[in-house]
Amino acid sequence: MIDFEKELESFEPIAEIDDIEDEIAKDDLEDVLDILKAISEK
Amino acid sequence: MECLYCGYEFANKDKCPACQTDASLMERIFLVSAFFYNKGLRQAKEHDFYNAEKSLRKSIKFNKRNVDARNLLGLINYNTGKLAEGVKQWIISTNFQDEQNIAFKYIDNFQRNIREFEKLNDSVRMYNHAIKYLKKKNDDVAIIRLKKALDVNPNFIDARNLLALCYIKQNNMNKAYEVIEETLKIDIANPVALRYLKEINIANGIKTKKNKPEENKPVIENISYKNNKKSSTGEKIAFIAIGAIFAAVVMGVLIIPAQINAKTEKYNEINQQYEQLQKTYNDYQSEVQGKISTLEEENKQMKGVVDEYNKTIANTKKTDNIESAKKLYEEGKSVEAAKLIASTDMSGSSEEDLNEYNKLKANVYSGACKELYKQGKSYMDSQDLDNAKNTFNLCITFSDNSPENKYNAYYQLGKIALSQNDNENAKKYFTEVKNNHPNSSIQGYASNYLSTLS
Repeated sequence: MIDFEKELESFEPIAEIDDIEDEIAKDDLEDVLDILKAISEK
Repeated sequence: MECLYCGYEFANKDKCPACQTDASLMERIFLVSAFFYNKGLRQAKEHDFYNAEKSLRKSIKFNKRNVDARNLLGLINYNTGKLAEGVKQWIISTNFQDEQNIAFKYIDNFQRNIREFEKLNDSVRMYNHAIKYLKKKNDDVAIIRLKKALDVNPNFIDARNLLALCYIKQNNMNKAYEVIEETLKIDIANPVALRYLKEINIANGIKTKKNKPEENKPVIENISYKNNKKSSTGEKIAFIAIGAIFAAVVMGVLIIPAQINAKTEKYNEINQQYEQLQKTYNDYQSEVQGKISTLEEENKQMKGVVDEYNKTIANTKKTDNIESAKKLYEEGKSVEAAKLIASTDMSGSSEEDLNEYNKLKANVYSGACKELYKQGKSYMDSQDLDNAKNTFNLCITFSDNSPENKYNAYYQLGKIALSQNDNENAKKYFTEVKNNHPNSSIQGYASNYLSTLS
């Protein structure tokens, strides 16, 4: 049986177009190559 | 190929000549990214947007510059209601590739259809409001908002699922089923919709029915990724070489973790070597420090020995000087003996030695003073005034116990100064004689000279 309250928690507000700059700033652009590069630099 | 790190273009090289990045590893990573892009593309074509999104996110996780994957991800997000997320991916994409990038066309499309775009953004606002209303237990208003949102954008998956949830809560399974059925036509394997469908079927006592993907309508026709020439070419190449790519990808998937492990092992190995070196260096430093301390101690001891030796030498020299002086004095060479005694440093001598020295000094000086006065007079008689002056001065030096010779010497120096018209020194010498000479007659002579000078 679905627990409505719990289920509702899984629905999060979606970014509106005014928030786009914040959304871009928040984006983690690190990829595998960056990770490998970081490891190799160590 | 173009190095992802520094952008340097090179070919047939194991490493980027500019930044030394492993080119073969880079190539494998490109292949993995391409593999996930192709998978995402296939899933998107089958309307499996949920899994397509997952694949495309993996693709850009391997290569953030895979603009085809990023553009398609943006398109899926945009089409399923996540408007800002879609635009965001396109903006990032244009930053990675500013030429021949379909993302520019998508963004331009917005700017040309700003009213439609505003409406789509309103649907997001309505969805967000609906969540707030539901949290305040205002289900009816929430349902109205969600319906309005879906009127604007029927492909808005999250709004569909939330509306279905509202109906399930209200136990309106038929409406819930209708919403979900439509949702699964848009996004055939959406796990939330499938879960709700299962719930509805359980509630209705029906076995879960499988969705039929072939009946689904295409939903992203309006802004089609087929227009992306670059994607189409990539797609063709991908299909032709799919077997080879897949093999390479499998290799890549297997090799990359191995490469990471190898690098981690290498890092650990270097770290261990560094620690070993550090330990060796510390040991060496302790050893050197110990040696320095030992040497310092030895040096200190040697210094003591040298000091002791110097002391012995000095004492020996003192003894020798005293013995020599004694001998010279006995031979009648008082002046030489006096000079030797004057040059002997008696500091640090025993009291006994000092007494012996002082006794000898008194005798020697007295004799020397007497002899020097005689010598001075002799020089004066022969009119050798310079030697006479030097000799009388030396006589005064050794005159500790001979006041008469001392002031006689002053008297003679006064006379020499007078003869050389050095009245100032003459006055000085005669004043000494007048004030100190033990013989009053000579004091009187000095006074006479002084009276002529005043």
